[in-house]
Amino acid sequence: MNRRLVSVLGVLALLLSVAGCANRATGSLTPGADLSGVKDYYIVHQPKDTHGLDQMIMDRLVKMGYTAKIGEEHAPPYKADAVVTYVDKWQWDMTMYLLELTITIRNPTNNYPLATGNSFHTSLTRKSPEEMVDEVLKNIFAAK
Amino acid sequence: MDKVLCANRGLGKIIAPLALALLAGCATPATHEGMIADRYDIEHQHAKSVSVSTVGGAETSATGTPRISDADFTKALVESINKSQVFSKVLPGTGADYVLQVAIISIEQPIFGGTFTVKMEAGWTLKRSDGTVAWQEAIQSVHMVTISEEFVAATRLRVATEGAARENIKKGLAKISRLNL
Repeated sequence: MNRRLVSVLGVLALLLSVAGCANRATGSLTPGADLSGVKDYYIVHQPKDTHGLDQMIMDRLVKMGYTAKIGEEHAPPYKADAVVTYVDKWQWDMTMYLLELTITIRNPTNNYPLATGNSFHTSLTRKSPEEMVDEVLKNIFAAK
Repeated sequence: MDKVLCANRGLGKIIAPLALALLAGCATPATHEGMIADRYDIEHQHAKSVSVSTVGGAETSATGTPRISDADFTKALVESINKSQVFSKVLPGTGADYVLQVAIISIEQPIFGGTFTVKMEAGWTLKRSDGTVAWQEAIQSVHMVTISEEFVAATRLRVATEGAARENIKKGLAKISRLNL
């Protein structure tokens, strides 16, 4: 009986640990989209973002050799080669951490999505917001 | 020995619901049936043929959240076109008058809560047979499912995800029906 109990607890622990380690990191280009001519980005500030993700995205893009600026959302067209929007999802586990980040690069004339990237890390494999931004942008620019 | 058995039974009462809760949390993928609407808001039924494709979808893992696969979304889209008759015929492969490509851009899903609201964005592109773009638009959709509608969280999330996709297809087809093709 005790052996059975131990094995049940073992399976539960395994399930819990697997559930706590879920990761996802993706990047994809919309068919026909080409980011090679994009040099100047307009990052749309999300009013609910209190963690400065817009600044992190801008810093990363500048580090990659692009020009970038942050501004408010408005009706297109935007004065840039492409628009960047993002969705961040935070969760509490001892401390707040960034659970999921999705970044979308859009056509500045009609907001049509050109490319998107997503990074999802649960608590046990959590990354800093800067690392998440880095991971998503790398995946977007590596996408074909 | 009896005491040990009793203790084990007591623990079993704790473990069983835990196991159930864990299993209930296992994600199942969005089904194509759940993404097909009962009614469509169609203005013009085009007497043209179309071929369809989807990109950006993903397969569902048991420990993740419900995802929409390219195959299931395409199947739902084909059945929705057939049902709404926004195009007269859906052809597989090449040779159709128009090519409809849908890119699933993002699906925002909640983690906890009684009411699950799922937001979806997809890029819709309709091309003529010569490859020129006839229409292109990003379509956003939202669907909400309450705990009274669906008690089990994993099912509630799947149903909300299917609802957001269904709404996206409805909006996309409604917009296409208003085009002058």
